[in-house]
Amino acid sequence: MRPCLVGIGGAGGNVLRQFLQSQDASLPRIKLGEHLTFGDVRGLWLESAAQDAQDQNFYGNLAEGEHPGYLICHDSIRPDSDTRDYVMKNYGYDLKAQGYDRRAEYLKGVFEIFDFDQNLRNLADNEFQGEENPLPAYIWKKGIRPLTTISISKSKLTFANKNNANQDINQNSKKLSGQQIALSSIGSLLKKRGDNQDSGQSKLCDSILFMASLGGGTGTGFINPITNYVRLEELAFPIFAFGILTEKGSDARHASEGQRDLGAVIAMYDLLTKEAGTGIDALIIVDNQILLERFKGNYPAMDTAMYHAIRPILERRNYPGAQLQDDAPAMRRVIWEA
Amino acid sequence: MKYEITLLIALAIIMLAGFLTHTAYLQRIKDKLSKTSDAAFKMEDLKQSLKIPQGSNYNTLVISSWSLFFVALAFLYFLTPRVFPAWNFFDFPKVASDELGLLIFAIAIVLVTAVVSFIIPRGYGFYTFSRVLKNITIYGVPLLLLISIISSSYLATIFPLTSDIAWNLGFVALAAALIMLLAPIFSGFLEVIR
Repeated sequence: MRPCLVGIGGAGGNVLRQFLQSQDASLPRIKLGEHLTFGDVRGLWLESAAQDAQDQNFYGNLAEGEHPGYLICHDSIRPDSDTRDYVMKNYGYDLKAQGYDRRAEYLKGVFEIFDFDQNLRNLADNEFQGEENPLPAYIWKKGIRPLTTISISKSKLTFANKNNANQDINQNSKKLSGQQIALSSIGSLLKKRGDNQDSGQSKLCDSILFMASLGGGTGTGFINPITNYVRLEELAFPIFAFGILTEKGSDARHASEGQRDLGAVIAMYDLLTKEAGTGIDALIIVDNQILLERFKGNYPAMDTAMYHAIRPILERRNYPGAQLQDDAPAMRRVIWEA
Repeated sequence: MKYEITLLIALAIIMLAGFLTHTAYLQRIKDKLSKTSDAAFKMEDLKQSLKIPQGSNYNTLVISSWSLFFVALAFLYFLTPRVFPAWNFFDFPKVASDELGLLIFAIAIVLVTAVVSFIIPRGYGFYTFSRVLKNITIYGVPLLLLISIISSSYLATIFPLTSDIAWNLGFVALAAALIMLLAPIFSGFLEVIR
């Protein structure tokens, strides 16, 4: 399969870097071809702290068309935004906080406000040209969707259809079993893939793989809201998540172990208890404490170990003479059947 | 048999070993895969499935390196009458006395061996090897071949005098470059027989 890799937050960005590093030989100041990654994967880094994004030199600014790139989640919100003011005055949350609060419930809270406050949704709808929740909408439309096969869909949903689509998801979830939902749109995905290859755009991603620390400030909160946005457009698009459980003790930002463990539990609960077919398709967990002990605190080596563990599922080489063996819809089907 | 010709045969054996290793690598993978499934497939299918891109930088540099390898080989053996008195650059006095004579000779070799230089690197597409090895190859091989070419040019300059040290240095650099060029094949084979 060729997933769009989405690294979220600091840990997600560090692991993602391993995947997006060029596999080509490096020449000083010269690049003769396209950026070549393992399995030809593409991806982006989502970060909420602009300073962290500027303090590194691997990712460029995706908003300026650079690849591999980072996207600051709240860049679409102006400092004088009415929506921002409303949330700040009524709930005390800042939509442009530089690096979200380390408490996992912070970002969860931010998204839930948009779910239940109709006034806020109307305000955002007016300010952001039809987007009821500007954060995931910006990430999905500006960052992730252009890298996926969904971007070439001929029948993109307009915002006016979104509510209908939402209802469809709920109704479908009730009527169909999870497996049926998983299988329902695979035909259309394969067709889309065929159209994609025919149109010479075969480098677009056929799935999404989120990478985030479970228990941090940014990574934990973004996966579900973005997944909701994907599901509005394509029910069966394969979405996987690679979650990193944090190690014991306090981290570099002084978040306590208990605080992060609670964050991880909340994140896993949210990710794994969605209605069938509406959330992610699989969650892959890695325990950073085990890696920490094995690599004696060498964080780059730990990131490399995670890269090597995930690499086989990104391998583009299929069994000879056969078709469609390791593509994302097939992998999703296997997971659902298991 | 002349010492230099023995060494030329040694180079040919290294190249042949590279080719045989490549063939054994593909056969080994075919045998291993055949045991995992009843689905039959041809070697052509396997080659198609194994093919992966190595990157434009690497491909460009490795094609250039193979071209440069043949130039260095020709310079070492055919620039002076030391090894083949009847077949050498000095048999063409008009070109040999031209100030761009060496360049003309090199371009002629590049043109003659162009097809081979393009075909051999296509084999690298069947192997997965590290970026470190790629970088070592694209920087190390041209450097070694440059040493070989400079040594050969020095021998041409001092002719009819000769220097065993210069010739041996040219050969060692050439042989080392060849081994480096074939390293992905050897390392791939070692991986597959583990």
